[in-house]
Amino acid sequence: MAKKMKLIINGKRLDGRNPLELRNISIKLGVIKNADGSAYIEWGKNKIIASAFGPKEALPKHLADPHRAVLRCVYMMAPFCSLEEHGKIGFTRRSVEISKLLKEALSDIVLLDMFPNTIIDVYVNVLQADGSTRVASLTAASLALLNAGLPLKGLIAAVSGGKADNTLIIDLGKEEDNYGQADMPIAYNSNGDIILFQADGLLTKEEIEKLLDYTNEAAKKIFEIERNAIYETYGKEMKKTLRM
Amino acid sequence: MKIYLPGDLIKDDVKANKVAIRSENGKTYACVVGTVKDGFFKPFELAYIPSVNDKIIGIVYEKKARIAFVDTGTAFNGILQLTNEVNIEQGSIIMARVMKIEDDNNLLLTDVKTLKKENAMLIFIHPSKIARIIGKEGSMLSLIKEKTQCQILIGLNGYIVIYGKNVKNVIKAINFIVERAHLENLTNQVSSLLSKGG
Repeated sequence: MAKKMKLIINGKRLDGRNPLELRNISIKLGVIKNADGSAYIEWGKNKIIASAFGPKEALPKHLADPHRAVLRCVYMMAPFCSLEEHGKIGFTRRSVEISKLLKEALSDIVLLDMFPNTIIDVYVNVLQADGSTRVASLTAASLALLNAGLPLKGLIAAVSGGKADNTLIIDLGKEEDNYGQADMPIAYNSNGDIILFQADGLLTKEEIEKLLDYTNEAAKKIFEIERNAIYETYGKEMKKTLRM
Repeated sequence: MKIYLPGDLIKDDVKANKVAIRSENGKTYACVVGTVKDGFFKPFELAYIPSVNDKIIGIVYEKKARIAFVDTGTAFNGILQLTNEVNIEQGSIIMARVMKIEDDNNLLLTDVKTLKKENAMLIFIHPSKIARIIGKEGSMLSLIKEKTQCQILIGLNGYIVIYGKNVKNVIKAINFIVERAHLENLTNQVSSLLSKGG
């Protein structure tokens, strides 16, 4: 049974944020030389790297879809990324789940039918975890696909909503994720449509509606951060070199 | 320079590579990050889709009696019908023209030329940067060839073969362009770079 922990004190969260405040987010594109596209995101204390490869030949052949590219996603947490992950190597049930939902959300934005009979691989590695890694991973993965030159309908902005000490909050940190009353990761595409929605814990209908509004506003800020990172990347030279 | 992101509306009437933009309800949207210049949407990054008549470079990875298979470094493998005139072996580097694109993504190749492997340097860059290596009407490529006195063969699929003594300088120039492919006024900068570097 989770121990009780005070998460909101005098209206402030443990890290000093207001309930509806995002953590600091910084993004860099093109960080992996050998990937077709890559992105590194620092979201609070989360450090996550995403890479994209493709389109490439579908091997083995039976994987090929004659109508569209097959998108494969792998989400892995490094054994050193958090105390809970310490010593774990390889897939866990959680990483299989998040790999699946990354694939489903990213399939909404990638124009897969432009590349039939090919495969697109996306790998996300969490180097340091501090809560809401799935939403940060999804945001990074969409930027890695952009950096790879894959045609997209738009970008993805994902953020978590939740409840702690009967207060609705967004962008849950690790303690809020572990000891809060509810956690609701949600992702939006550029049109404002919801492409990922999960919920864990107890929320009323009214609370969910409020959280949808709050996360929608937060997603707009995240889109702005992504846009600025892209402008900064393509406004100057990049460290993408040739292969010999 | 206005940078368009995927999903951004392009108000001007533009031409572009078929996967770089899309039309929806009579409006045009960018699919990749890029900019509009001289009526063309120029992507900064774009996955390679071959077209008929593309000149590509590849490596023969399997040879059978009458057919050979070519690795193009992309999702599209090449198929070559062998004739008496074509002398290739497994491992040969070839330059060819795309005659037809099959439904299963194989490229039927023709006009094959086997390239010498002695004193050759084979490199691979992302195909979306090839256009900047070639330059407007071949100006950048001519500049590099003139400054380095090297022979340079370019495949639109991203492979480049270089012959000559100044291969190091050619690679330096290509690397310089690849890092700045999304920026403008590269020709003058490359010219200075090659003049300084020798």
